[in-house]
Amino acid sequence: MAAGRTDRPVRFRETRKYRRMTDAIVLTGTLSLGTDGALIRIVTTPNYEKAVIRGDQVRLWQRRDGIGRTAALADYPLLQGMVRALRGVLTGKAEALNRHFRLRLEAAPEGAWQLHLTPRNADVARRLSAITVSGTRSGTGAAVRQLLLTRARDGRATGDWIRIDLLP
Amino acid sequence: MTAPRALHLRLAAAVAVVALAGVLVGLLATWTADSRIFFPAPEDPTAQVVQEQMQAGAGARTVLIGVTGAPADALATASRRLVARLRQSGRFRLVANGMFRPDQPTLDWLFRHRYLLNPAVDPKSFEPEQLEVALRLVRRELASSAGLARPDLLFADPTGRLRKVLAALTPAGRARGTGDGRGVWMTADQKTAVLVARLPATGPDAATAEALTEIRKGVAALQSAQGAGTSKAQQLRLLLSGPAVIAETIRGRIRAEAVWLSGAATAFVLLMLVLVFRRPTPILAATTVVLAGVIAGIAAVQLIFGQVHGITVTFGAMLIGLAIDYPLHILVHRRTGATARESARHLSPTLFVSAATTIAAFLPLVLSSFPGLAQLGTVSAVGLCVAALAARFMLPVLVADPRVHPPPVTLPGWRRRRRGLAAVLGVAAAAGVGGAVIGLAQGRALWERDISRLSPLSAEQLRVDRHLRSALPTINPRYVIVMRGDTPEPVLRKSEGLAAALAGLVRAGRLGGFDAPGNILPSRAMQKARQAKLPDPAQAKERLATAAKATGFAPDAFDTAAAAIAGAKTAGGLATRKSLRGTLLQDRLDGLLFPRGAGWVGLVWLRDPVPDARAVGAAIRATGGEVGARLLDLKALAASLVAAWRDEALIWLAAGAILSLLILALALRRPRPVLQIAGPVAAALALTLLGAYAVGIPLSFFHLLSLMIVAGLGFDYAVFMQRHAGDPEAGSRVLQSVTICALSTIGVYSILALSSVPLLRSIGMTTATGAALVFLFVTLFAIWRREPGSAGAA
Repeated sequence: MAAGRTDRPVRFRETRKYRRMTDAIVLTGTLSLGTDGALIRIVTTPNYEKAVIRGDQVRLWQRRDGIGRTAALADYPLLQGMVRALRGVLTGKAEALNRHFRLRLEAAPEGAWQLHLTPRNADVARRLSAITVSGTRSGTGAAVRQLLLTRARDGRATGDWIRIDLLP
Repeated sequence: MTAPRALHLRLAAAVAVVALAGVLVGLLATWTADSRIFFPAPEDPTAQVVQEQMQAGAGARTVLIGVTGAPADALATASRRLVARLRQSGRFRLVANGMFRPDQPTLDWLFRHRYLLNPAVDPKSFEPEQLEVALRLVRRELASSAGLARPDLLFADPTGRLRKVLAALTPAGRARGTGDGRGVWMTADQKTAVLVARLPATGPDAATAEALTEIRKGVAALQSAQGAGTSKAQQLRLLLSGPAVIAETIRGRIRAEAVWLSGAATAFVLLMLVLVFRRPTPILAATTVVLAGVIAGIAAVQLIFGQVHGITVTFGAMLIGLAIDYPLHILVHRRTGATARESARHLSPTLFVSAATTIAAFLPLVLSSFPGLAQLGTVSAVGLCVAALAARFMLPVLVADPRVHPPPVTLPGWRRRRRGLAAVLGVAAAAGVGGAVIGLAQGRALWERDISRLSPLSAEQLRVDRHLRSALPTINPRYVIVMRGDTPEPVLRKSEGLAAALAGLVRAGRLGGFDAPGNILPSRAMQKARQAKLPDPAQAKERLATAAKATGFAPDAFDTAAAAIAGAKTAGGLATRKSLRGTLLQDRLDGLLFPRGAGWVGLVWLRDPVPDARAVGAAIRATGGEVGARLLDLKALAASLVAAWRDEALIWLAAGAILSLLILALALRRPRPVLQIAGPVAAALALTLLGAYAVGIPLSFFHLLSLMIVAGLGFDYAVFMQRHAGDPEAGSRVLQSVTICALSTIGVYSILALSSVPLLRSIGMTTATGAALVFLFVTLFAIWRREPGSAGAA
């Protein structure tokens, strides 16, 4: 997978699709791992937001010069699922992914592959049906291209989804 | 002479009977450690309601939890983990560590009634332009982390009503302590994270102990999660306080002290008896007599009051130091060859005068309107009475063996130093006069005004309590506004009228805020008025659809919000006390709105900063008197209660002193011996007072109670000294027995002075000091009187 991509920020484009919206919301920003293992997610457009996820807490800043506020990651089950998947993908540690998700790997034509993640945690599973990680195989290893999160309400898919494209 | 075997059988039977009585009293008595019975309760019914609510309400069930010893971020994490664990345990009605965080049932209730709860819906918020602004905000939120949390909520509540309702329930001051955006309560130095837990019920039941154990286990789990590598300085530590913990601590401490102090006092007296008699028979007999008195005293308290306080038990056990005098007099005074029966008969007039004067001092306390004081009076009067009677009638039956003698005590060679004696007595008299003058001149200034200083809590515990409270939003404990009504509805309407008046003070920055029942549950009248102002559901639906189209949403995206408005307009949409059940707000409302007698009472507590009583009173009056609320100044009320309590206690003590002197006068029939007995005793009492004043100890009722014990001891010593002054052999034995009695008493009350309960400690210190002084003065005076050429020589 994308092992070794933790030393520098990874740019991403996130598309959020809600059934009750006529258009999708598109966010861009960067993802990186701090030296202490914290996942740092900075959204630059359309509105600034910085989230530092360390352990079971998330600290959020809505403005660059604002005061951060801390919340328990458990209050954001979807974010929790997203973070666990991203951390596993960014560090390339399969065992970390395996701890939180049931995994199913599927090969696709032309070196492409898909990894299906189903949350093991019941709280996360109520809000998140599944995550599909897509990537390609190259000479140096596997590169992650995209994560697709299928949202759920009380365990049933709502039709809303979030797609995170990791940009080269 | 009775055969030794028969004597031993009698003694064994007496010991068995007293032991059995002790076991029965121990098993059958109802023990209590509720210190309130020693302190005054208000007579004013309104104040009574407030006090009862404070003692049994939500406040009394609160546990303050502090987690300290680690950096602020680690503390915040620990606070969050502990709160999650404690909530999951199900042992608490509420666990909080920061902003008001409703659980799911509470959130559901607030969400269901969001259009009718506080604050009122702004009718403009459903104007087309306002709706478009609101939906743009929803869109922005969907693009943020909030969109990852609960997007459904944004669609169901586009105007953000739930957020406004939650904000209204979170007092303005509450965010102050939420350390540097970490979202949990922290002390200002960021060194302690603070949590508040509320127990389901008050009382010393197993649930409280289990809940406290759960907290300790929670912190222990956090400590072990820190890992073994953590240095001791970096290890998490638990601090516990709050009314529930304090009550539990006091209960435990009083129970433990009752056991160890009584045991130590008994052991000390036994040791004295062993040193004096060195034979088992008189030791067992004297102990049996004294314990019979103590057990009878405690049994009498149980019979009269239906319960026995731990402090009464300890105080009663300390009477051992006083009651031991009676058997000691009889056993030590015996002439060579005389039987105990003859000795008892010979001494009985003196013994009864001595006992009667002491008992008389305690007797009026029995009539006190404070159950605690009446218990102390009863245990003393009955205990001493039974001990004196047992010494006179039972002891001679148990100890007939004439071989029993205490080893000889060499008298000090003071007799030849008359001038020295006169000087000491002169100084004592002068000091006594000085003490009396200061007492009269200072009057009430000598008195302890702060009743809380008698609290059994250590300074460290009080510091921890203040430290933890500093992190929390503060309710001002001084003022409370009380409202009454036939049903909850008029009380809630009064609360709303008052809220409107107090809001002016809040806006002006003079009042930090207030907790009123109407803040949680608006009156039906208010909710109906709000229903009438809500927009027409069909119109709201249409406007929402139009705004949705303009902001990139599907036209039906907000249909659930329109349906909620329709629901809020129906009769079933009204929020009620019944619908509130099972939510976190039920507990909060129950503390502010509760039934009393045939009607209902509502309380409004003010939050710091609070202006003076006049400004709050003016705000209440400004409502035109329709509100019918009454402002209580609890601090002033407590001060007047303490004064009334002190005055009553003083009257009973004065009555006791007069009764003692009357008995003495009746027994001795002439003023001169009465003065000879009362003089040295009065000097010792005045000097004890002077000593307390000199070292800056404010007087409490319990100091005076101790002085009554000292007076009782003094009368006992002086009566014996005075009665046998004419007989040198008897005089020598009296001095011997009085010395033994005094040493026992001083020892027993010195043990009591080691107590960590301030009330018991003050009794112990004062009595031990007073007993030493009264022994010294009475003895010196008696020796001086016997000297040839002295003014008082017989």
